[in-house]
Amino acid sequence: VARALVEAAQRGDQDAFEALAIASADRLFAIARLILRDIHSAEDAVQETLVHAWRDLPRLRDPERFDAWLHRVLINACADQGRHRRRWSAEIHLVRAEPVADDAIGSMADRDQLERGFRRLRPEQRAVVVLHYYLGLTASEIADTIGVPVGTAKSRLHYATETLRAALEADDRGSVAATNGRPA
Amino acid sequence: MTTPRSTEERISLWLEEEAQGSLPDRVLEASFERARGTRQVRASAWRPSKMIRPISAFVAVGAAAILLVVGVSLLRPSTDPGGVGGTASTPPPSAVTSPEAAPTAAPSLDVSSWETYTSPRYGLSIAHPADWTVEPGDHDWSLDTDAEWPNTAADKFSAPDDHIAVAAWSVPVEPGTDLNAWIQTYCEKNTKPCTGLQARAEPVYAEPRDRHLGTLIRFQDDVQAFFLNGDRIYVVASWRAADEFDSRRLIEAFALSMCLGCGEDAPSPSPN
Repeated sequence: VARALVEAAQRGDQDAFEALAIASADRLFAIARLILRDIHSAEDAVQETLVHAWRDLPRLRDPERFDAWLHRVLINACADQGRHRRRWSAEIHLVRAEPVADDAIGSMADRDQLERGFRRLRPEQRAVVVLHYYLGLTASEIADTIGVPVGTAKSRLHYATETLRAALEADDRGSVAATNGRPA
Repeated sequence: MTTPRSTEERISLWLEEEAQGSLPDRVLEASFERARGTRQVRASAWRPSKMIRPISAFVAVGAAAILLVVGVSLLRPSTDPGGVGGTASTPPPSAVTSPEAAPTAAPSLDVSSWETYTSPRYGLSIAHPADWTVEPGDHDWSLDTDAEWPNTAADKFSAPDDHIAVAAWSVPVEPGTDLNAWIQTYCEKNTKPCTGLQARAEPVYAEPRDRHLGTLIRFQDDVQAFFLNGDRIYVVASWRAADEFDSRRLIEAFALSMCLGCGEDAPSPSPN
């Protein structure tokens, strides 16, 4: 992010802020959608994020940390959305009924099981999963972004990963059992 | 045949697939429209009175007159329905003319209609306007990671219009910790200005009956009250987007309603 744009936005330059927002919008939307599992809630969360970011931007001390700071504002907005609308439970994604190629079957099964596993996670655990596996942040960077101790970020990530692993392994076992029991 | 993938790779692939798509333009436009109508938090919002440079008598009289008008307007029900920026449902505030109930000469808020929130995480109870939203903190507040605002550690109280927020939390400290020294360390983490804190410190009280003395500091963007009780420091902070709000009265009202060490499963019961 261009430091000059952030500094201009901090001084009240609306055009600079909008340029920053446009550059970040799709990324913020993706993160919000992944966490909230609901497009409308994600749109609301991004809108709240941008308005709060504009309002609070002068309080950001280090313009270089704009992206991390914006992610923190977004995570808080997602938490607010979840609290207010109680939509943390994911909507069930219907698996397409049409025939699919063999090599896509594994991917679809993953999708279904990961969705189920993800739904079991609490909002703060979903956030660390998205920040780590989607944005590629380390535990230390996650801790800095969401404002928790590094140990907390690590434990949330560990628990969330194990939950998703368990969901996948349960499906893998089911697939093996089904294959073994299939008539020749 | 598919190549076996690790759990981590499968999670990453799934998230990448799920993340496809762009934010609709209408959402961006709506965000910008709202932002254009929103004032930014400015550094001049909470200038402490003791920091004001010497000014001419004429300007001083003018400023005093403005403050008087602002003070009166804050006490008028029609302009401040919640007493603290609420929009509708909280009964209007009235000046409580009991000087001993507040540490300053300014009239305190009428908190008779406020509700009490008990925080098991921080071992405190505190009153808030009935129509405010309460968001309990989701982890224990830490000086290392949560000195910055916003954070999700503190218990947060928000006015209906979301323009005023009050946060309350506590943190364990080493026996013998000096409150002023701790405030200095805390200030340097993320708040400013941090110079001359002791000179800027003002008295504030917690505990409606026992009147536990604490320290009130006006920072650049907020007003915060600090109390040392046993082996914990309790903090209540007030912040608002706009700059015309009397945050000191608000923080005094919140603080005076606080019971230190009174939460369920309190982490550090009050030794007093």
